Amino acid sequence: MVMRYCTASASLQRPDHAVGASIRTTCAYCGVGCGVSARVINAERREIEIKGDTAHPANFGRLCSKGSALGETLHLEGRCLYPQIEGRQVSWETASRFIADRFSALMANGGPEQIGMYLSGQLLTEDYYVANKLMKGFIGSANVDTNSRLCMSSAVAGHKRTFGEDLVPACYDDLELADLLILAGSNLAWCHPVLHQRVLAARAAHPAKKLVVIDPRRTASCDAADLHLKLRPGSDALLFSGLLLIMQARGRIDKAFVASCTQGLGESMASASLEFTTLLSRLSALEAMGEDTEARVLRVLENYCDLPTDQLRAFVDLVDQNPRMVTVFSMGINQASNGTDKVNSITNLHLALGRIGKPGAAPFSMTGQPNAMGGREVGGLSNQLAAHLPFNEQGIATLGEFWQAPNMVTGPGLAAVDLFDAIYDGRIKAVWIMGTNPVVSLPNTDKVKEALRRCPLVIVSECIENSATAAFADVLLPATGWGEKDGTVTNSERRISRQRAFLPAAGEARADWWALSSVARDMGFAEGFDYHSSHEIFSEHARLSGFAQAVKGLDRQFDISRLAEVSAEAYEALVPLQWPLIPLHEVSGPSDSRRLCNTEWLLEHPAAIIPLEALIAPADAPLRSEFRLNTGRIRDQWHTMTRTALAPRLNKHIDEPFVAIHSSDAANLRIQTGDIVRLSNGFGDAVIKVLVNEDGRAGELFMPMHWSEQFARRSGSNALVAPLVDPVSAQPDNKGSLVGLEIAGQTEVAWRGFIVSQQRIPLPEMTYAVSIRCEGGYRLELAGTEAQWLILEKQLDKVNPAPIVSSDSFRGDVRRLSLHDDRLGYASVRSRLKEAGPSRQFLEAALLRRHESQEEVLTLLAGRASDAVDCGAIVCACLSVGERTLEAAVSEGAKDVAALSLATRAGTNCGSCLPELKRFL
Amino acid sequence: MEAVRHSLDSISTAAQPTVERRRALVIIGGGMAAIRLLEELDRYDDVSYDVTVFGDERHFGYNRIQLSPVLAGEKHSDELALKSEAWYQQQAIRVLSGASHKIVAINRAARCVTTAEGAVYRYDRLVIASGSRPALPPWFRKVQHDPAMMVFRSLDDVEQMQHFAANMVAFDTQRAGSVSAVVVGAGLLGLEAAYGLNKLGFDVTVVNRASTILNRQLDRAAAGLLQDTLEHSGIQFALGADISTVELGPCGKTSQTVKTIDMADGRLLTADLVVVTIGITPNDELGEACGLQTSRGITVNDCMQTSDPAIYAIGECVSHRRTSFGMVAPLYEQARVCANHLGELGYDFFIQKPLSARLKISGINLFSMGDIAENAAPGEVQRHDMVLSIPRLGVYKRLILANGKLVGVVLYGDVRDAGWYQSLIESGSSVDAYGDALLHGQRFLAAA
Repeated sequence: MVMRYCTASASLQRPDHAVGASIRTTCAYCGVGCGVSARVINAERREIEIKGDTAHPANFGRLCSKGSALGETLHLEGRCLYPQIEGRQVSWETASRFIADRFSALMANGGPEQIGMYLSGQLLTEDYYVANKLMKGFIGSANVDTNSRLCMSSAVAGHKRTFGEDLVPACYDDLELADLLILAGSNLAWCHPVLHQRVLAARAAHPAKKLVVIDPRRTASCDAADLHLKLRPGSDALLFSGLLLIMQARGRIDKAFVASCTQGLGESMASASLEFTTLLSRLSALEAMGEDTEARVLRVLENYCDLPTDQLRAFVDLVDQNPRMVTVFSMGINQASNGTDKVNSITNLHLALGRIGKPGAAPFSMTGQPNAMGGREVGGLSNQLAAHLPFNEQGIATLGEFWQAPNMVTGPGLAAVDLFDAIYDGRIKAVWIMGTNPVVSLPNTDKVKEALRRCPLVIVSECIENSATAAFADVLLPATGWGEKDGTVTNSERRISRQRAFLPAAGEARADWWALSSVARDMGFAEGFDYHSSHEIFSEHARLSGFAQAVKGLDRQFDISRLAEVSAEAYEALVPLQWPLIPLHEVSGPSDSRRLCNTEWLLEHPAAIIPLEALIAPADAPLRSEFRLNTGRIRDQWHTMTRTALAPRLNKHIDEPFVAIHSSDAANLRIQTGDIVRLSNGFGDAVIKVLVNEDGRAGELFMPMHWSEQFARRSGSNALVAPLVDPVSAQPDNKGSLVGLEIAGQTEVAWRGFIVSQQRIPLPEMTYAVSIRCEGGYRLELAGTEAQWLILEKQLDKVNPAPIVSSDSFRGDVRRLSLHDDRLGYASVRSRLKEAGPSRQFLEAALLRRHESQEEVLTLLAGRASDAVDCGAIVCACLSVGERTLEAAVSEGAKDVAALSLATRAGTNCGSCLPELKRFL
Repeated sequence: MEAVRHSLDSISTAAQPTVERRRALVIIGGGMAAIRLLEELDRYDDVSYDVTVFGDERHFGYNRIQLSPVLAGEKHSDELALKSEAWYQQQAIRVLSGASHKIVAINRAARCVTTAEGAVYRYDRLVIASGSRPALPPWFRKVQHDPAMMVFRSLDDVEQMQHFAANMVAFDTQRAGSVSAVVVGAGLLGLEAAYGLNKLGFDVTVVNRASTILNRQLDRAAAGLLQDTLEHSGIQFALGADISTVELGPCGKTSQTVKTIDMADGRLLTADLVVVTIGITPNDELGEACGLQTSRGITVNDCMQTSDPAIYAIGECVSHRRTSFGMVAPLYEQARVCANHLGELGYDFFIQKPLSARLKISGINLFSMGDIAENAAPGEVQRHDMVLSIPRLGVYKRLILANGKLVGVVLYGDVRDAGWYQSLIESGSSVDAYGDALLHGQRFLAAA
């Protein structure tokens, strides 16, 4: 593939004259970084047509369900439109000066470490760069971390341990080239759907390709898999280490490669071997005495990974037979108390077998966010410096020199969980949160909320006014959103793509880099932050990546300095580029330099094979009544749903939060799908509906991570997640907290039901409440006490004091409708039965229609279509015989009143209509 | 005794003795029960009677239920005849109607009846279907001679009201405001009268002792809706009100007088016309006079037989298990049972079923049946209500359940499922299986 930095033919497109033209940009969601082509249909109504960008090398025109629905998320409903201080609208000048004054005061009084920032993998590289520059160079606090900490900091730590730099060796082509693809702790099918489609297409073309999924839960990714290893959670590192021991026993180590390109194999193998011997001895399996290494290792794996030997053997053989092997790993590996060791158990295997940096052979960390990789490039984490500079004296000095920074930090700052603990403790007195929702996404969310409640100054930059975190803001700043933002993002295969604006900023929303620069200037750092465009920032960022590359100890693979000189026009037209960039004179002809860590490079930078500390994630053993709680994504929601939940069709796949439980546990507890349970532990609780299946393992639960207080009163997963972090990466373990489960009592959830409404109804105070955007309006799913329902109904009655009501005290069923101008204002349904009669779908669809006739209204109350045949105007009132029925009887041969009466029963009761029957004859 | 003998001598028997004398069947009353009995008897081909029917009204054999639409001008009185003259002829039924043919005495020993003119007719079997007459309040007696003090029972009454209205309009063109009528009693008949009078151009006020209208058939909510609708059409209501006296005004140039109505609560109403519809009194005097058992009606057993085995009684004049009847449905049922016995099958019996009510006012759909009390009586099983209310469309439904069975129903505005509910109440079977469709309608059953 021929790479070019820019295409001269690409024309300049500005948002103000964008109507009708297609703008190429990058998807707002996952780390695949798909190219999107957006065409403005009506700028005022913000109607945009979204298509996949056929020219983008990440997706070649494909989009997943979330990406396809981007156009439905661009309306202004719920947007944060102007700066606010303590809920009062203020000017940007006031807000900026307010923040600057408070920051300056803290710096002067108690020191800059009292200031924290919590950033996001959703920020553009330019925003990220400016935030880090301000914090680490000018304010002088390294207490700046990002939600990427929750996502792939174990991968970063693992990469750094083994390569010395945060390098992702693989590119997307490798997924297609591999003969054996291992998905370890990755539900690629739901979390990176477009890549999964590429994998499926490659398998369809080459049916011999193998796919193995390693996951304690059966996911959609298993559908196409040749083998699913449903291992015990936290035993991944043991599995990969065991695999390496077996490969060594089989003589499959690539000795020449190991000798020249790696170091530490011997030490690593010795430590693994010792660990396995210890584990085996605990099994007291005397018959293992005479067995060979492979059998003994398998015995350990069988017991500790809880996997059948035949599956293990099949896996070992697949690994043995397929040198072109890619191991994709994601949150199942990273989000663990031994996440870094898990990552290195994978890199160790690939290094020892020489399966790295080659076509179709590499470990491959898939990131969750659109710009997690961009954040890594500018040093978004508290233990990183910009442009992959090492966080040591030399790196700090070099960066300080480049930035001309007055207050360079001296060492790494606090990582996410510690950062919020410091806010809780009062060590940090001001925090600026940007583009993320930590009160939902961090572990132990109740403590995070308390921390923000206590914090004297909370600044939140947000697109969405009522995000769960915005509720804690002292200063709320309106940020531009996708479609308004302008800058670059880097995807999982190190490809830098432009996100372009095609809509005007909503209200007074501004780019985050603009807000940061404004505050910086107000703090007196005008020179360092005199930015007028994202292009200027990108240019500086690119220049920094080349800075001091020649200095010993500062050379790094990340170098995009050639892009420092691109003009504003060229930046505007920038095509997706992958780093390492090919030198200009090599631009023609094929090259595999898009891969990192090839043999050539490893010869000079030998990678470390790491002896691992924790082959099994340290975890508390569950009590008899406890479950291990796994958390994760669902297909059609993104993170805390602030954007995806705006699109009705994305809420259709899975509309409510749920906790999945294994059928055997459900049978023991006598619970069924749809029952409401309360999960709790020492950190928090959740009230949630049960989904019974066999996807997970007995004793384990699964909950989606997405639901916040914005959409569910108390159904979020992370209130239950213990703030346990990996000692190396500081990434929290979101997959292994212990929880108790009890069925919500009749006293708590006596009445269950739902409300569909045109207007959004705020989440009511109810035991269980979930809000769902649907076509034409909203739906609330509710369960609570009769008193809670009555309060809600009273509130609804303020809008319409005489709603249409049907109530059934026999079965326990109350339905209420409110109509305005023949349109359904709301329909509320509550029942004492688990499943209320009316169809949600039917009533949601009813929001879109007019309801003029009495029959239409009655049908709404029934909540489903009737099978009534229209029998025409009623003639016999006693027996409800209509004109059409009578006409039909006449045409079928009724010749006189008596015959007509006999055939239709008309007039057989009071006889009043008998005279009238004559007119039908 | 002599008189009787004399009468006997001049008996004009229903059938002259021939080779095989047919038995004589005499029916007292030409109302709906009587005519239905005739229809039912027509089905028993093997048994034949010489039938004579006596009606004391000027009009014979008409559909009394349809008087309201006639009053309202929505139907013509010609349309009310239940059977054509030809039919009676074809059936060889002798019809004797009018005041002169009013039966004034029954001689059980001689098995004969005497008309007002003194004609005597003997019978082998007698059916008393003498119906009922309007119940009257105490104050009525004093003023009943006034032609504008009316009841609403017969086609004569209707014609009189129509005539009155026409006169009033003719006389009162110069009088400011329109003519007024007070209807006493807000039962089915009272409301129908009010509606009809309203349509005839009267300013109508309905006075009712209870605080709601149609209080025996409707609950408070449905009554409220009905009242709203009727008020909307111009009818006024004085509820929870009783009348103490009515003063007749001075006779003016017109034949009409203005009445001043003293209400118990001190209010005064004036009216050109007063119509009393506070209920009915069974016409059981004939039975009582000839020694039949009576108790607010002529007592009958389940076969509709009176204490004299040769005499049956059906319709509004009877007392069956201490109950009297004012609706048409049980009356038809009684006719059917009675015919079964007269027809010598002798196995059918009358079972009282929950009653249903409808209001014959065009544009108003109302149905009520069974036990609709708001609260269960002490000691009764727990009851459950199912209620549906659409205020903007004036639709209201209430179902009352006890022991998992439907025991009562009030429908207003949407009566499509009346037949279904009626059969469910009558069958007394469990309604559990119908789920929420029970309330929302039979047409939602399949979709459930």
